[in-house]
Amino acid sequence: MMVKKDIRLPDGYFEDLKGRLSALPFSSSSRKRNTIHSLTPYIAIAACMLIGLVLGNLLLPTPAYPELQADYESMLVADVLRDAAYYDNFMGDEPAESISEDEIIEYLIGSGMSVEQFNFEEYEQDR
Amino acid sequence: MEDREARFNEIVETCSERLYWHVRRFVLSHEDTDDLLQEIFLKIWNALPSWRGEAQIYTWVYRIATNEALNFLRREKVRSALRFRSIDEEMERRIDNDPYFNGTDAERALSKEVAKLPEKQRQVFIMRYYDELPYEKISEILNTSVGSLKASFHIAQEKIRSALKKFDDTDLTF
Repeated sequence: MMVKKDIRLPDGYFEDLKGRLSALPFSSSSRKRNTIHSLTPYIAIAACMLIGLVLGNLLLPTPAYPELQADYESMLVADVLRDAAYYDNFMGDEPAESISEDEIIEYLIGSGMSVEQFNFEEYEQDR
Repeated sequence: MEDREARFNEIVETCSERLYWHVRRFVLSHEDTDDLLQEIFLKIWNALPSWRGEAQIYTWVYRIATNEALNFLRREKVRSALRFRSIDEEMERRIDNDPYFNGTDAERALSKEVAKLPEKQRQVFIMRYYDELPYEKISEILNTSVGSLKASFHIAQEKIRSALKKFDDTDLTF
């Protein structure tokens, strides 16, 4: 077994690793992972905007000018997505998927929210 | 394309083992290290056309690996927080449950103390103690002055020595 101070690895692990890494750029799974990975932030942003619009529509009072309601409702979905092709590419013929925990984590890290803010009670005490 | 492929294969041949050990010291899991290495080498492959020789290839590759390892740890920290768990407890659990660990109790305790260090001190300690890199090389990788690195390493060293007082000094030397 390969020994590095305090860790042992199975025999031949690094030879196997080199073989797998050399084949990596040409594997279809890596290409597919790249595409989904690059689209994830846009999908997360679009999903959050959609949620915000829906909640706003539900929580805000009835407008004073009903004739404008039709225009407002037409804006709910279609204009939110910067490019509908992104939505089509993601949804396509595949069944709709909910946002995974990994996508949530990537979004939270990108939003700049600190870990302390997740633990609301600790955050409130420190403020 | 052939040049890119040849260069990539050269990096795999010369750096994959060193990068394994480097990443392993951060993520503390063989399986996660294996997965992360694939992400790292995919990033290297994608970034190779844009590498203009600003830094030595080894320094550039090491920098990508370090950033990916730290990003992994940040995601784990957020994941732990979402589950109302401490990242320190999660890292200790990984060390205790590691089936490939073959060291002494002192070395296990050392791994746990290193995992608790602030990010900067942890980087420097891993690269200096485990990777055995000279300060000048670490300075290029982390884009930090040698003086600052030495100060970070000294602080990390003192913290760890203080925490490991109960172990025989001959077990570990740094």
